[in-house]
Amino acid sequence: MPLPLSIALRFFKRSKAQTVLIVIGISIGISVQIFVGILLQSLQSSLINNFIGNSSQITIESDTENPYIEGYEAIIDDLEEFDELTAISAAADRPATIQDGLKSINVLLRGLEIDDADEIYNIAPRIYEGEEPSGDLEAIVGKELSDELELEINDGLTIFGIIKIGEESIAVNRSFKIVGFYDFESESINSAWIITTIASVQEMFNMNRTVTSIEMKVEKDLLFEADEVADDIEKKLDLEADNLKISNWIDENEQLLNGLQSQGLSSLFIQAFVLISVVIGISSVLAISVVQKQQQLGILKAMGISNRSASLIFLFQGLLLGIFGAIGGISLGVFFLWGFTQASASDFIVIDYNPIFILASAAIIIGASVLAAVSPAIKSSRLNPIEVIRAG
Amino acid sequence: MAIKKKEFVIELKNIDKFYYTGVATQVLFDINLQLKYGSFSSIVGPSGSGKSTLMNIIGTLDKPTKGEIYIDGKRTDKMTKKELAELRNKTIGFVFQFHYLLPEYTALENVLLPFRISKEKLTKETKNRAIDLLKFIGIESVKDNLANNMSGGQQQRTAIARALMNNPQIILADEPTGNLDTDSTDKVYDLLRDINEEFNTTIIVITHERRIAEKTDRIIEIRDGRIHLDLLK
Repeated sequence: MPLPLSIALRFFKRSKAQTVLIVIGISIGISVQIFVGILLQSLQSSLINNFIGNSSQITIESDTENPYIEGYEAIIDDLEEFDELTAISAAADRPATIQDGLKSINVLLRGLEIDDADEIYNIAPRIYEGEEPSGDLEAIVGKELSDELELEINDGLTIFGIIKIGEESIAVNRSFKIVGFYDFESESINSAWIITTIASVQEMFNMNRTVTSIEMKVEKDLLFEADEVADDIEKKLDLEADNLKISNWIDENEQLLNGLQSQGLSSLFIQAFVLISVVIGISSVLAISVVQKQQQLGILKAMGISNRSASLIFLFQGLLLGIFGAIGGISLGVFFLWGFTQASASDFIVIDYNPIFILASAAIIIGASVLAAVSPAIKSSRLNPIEVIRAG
Repeated sequence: MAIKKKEFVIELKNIDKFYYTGVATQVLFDINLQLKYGSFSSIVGPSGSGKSTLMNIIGTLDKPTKGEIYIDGKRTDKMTKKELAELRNKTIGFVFQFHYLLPEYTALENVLLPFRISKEKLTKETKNRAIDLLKFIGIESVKDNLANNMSGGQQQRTAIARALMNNPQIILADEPTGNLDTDSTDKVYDLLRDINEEFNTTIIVITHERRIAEKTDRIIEIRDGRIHLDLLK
């Protein structure tokens, strides 16, 4: 073992209580950093998963009065060339109404390719009773709406719609068979969407083989680049020429994004201040240690230890405090997070023990600890043995 | 050029030393001093006479304002801090009044420190040599004690063993018995004498006690920064 490291360890061992206290102090600081960092990261990704993860992130719609998109299969074929997309699903959506006694309720009748739509909306696990619609005129209804209408599985539900042909409006209606109830954990969706097959809506509204939108989801890593992916699609497919427009979640959720961003920023601030206080703590403890150990340093210098080795003692001390503090802090931080998940009733936040974040935090804290030791190390290097030896 | 056999292990030529604390204070005036290999000398003088400054300069812990210093034939007043540290490690063994063992280490580990500072690899032979030194000074029984678990006399002997570890040409002892009782004091001087005879080590004792100085072969008295008396027995 190099002599400066051996001396560093012996100095620690000699003042055990002081060493244990500072390691506990550093550990608590780092545990806060890990706890806050991981909790907010997890909160962010849970938020994103809950609000954006299960909805269309990029949507193609008609840019004219006529909402119908013709030849959508060809567009989907083209879209499949984009590796950035993980799900593509066509939707035929029409506004409709339901009569509940004298009251009429506005709903959105959503005709979906159930298998494709599952990849975006994750429908299957959200059906708490019954099953997905598969045949013609089968539909599922959201929790709030079904409660309001007191529906049961296999009930018939008449849905009214309007078809416009030229200037003329024609009322149409179909009786749908209710095959399931879903819960998207969003009251506005649960009370408005009636989900059925694409063919049912096309038939009811006389849409032939057209749809009203194509919905897409991007790779998880590209979530925050969805706007760029959308731009890319728009250019390559020349959507404008087909009177189509493309939208993405980023442009439509500016407020949410701002919120997430400022949350991330405040998390960074907290972590930075914790780091600063840890560094100041280490630096002051080591500065005191240089004074406490100046007799030893003086004699070592008289015996010929180099100034470099004399400063290395304290750099090693900084390094060791950083390593022990990181180990203690990460253990404590992970324990706090575990405790948090045990204590919180909601499973809204899924804690993601991001190993890269943890390792990066450990590396930063260890690096900062060594930096904190620089000033004590310089003091040690400059210490003049004569003063110490004569002082007795 | 003919190689002259070195006669003096320490040679000081025209040493002046000033301290600058607002005003310049001269503490050493034109000191010329030569010490032979294997000699046993003492430097005496009242406190404030400049003897400690002289010792620090001989020990290369301090530099003269003017003049030349040769240790073991090498000029040291122009050396870098790193060269001086290496020279001290190899050539000079220090023994101080307040023992100054590292309390974090055992007696044996303290004795080994100068060797470890020299960055050479610790071998079984080195360790045996350190144990032999502890035997020689008669404290082998406490070799695994931490410094604080030894008597003052034992600590000072350990410090002497440590000073011997790297086989230095010179042992520089600054009031080595200042904190010891008469019995321990005599033991330490007997030991220094033994070392001087056994290893032919040059020994310089700095003291303010005439009685102790008289045990050495040469007494150099410093007064007001000048050599006042140089007595060779």
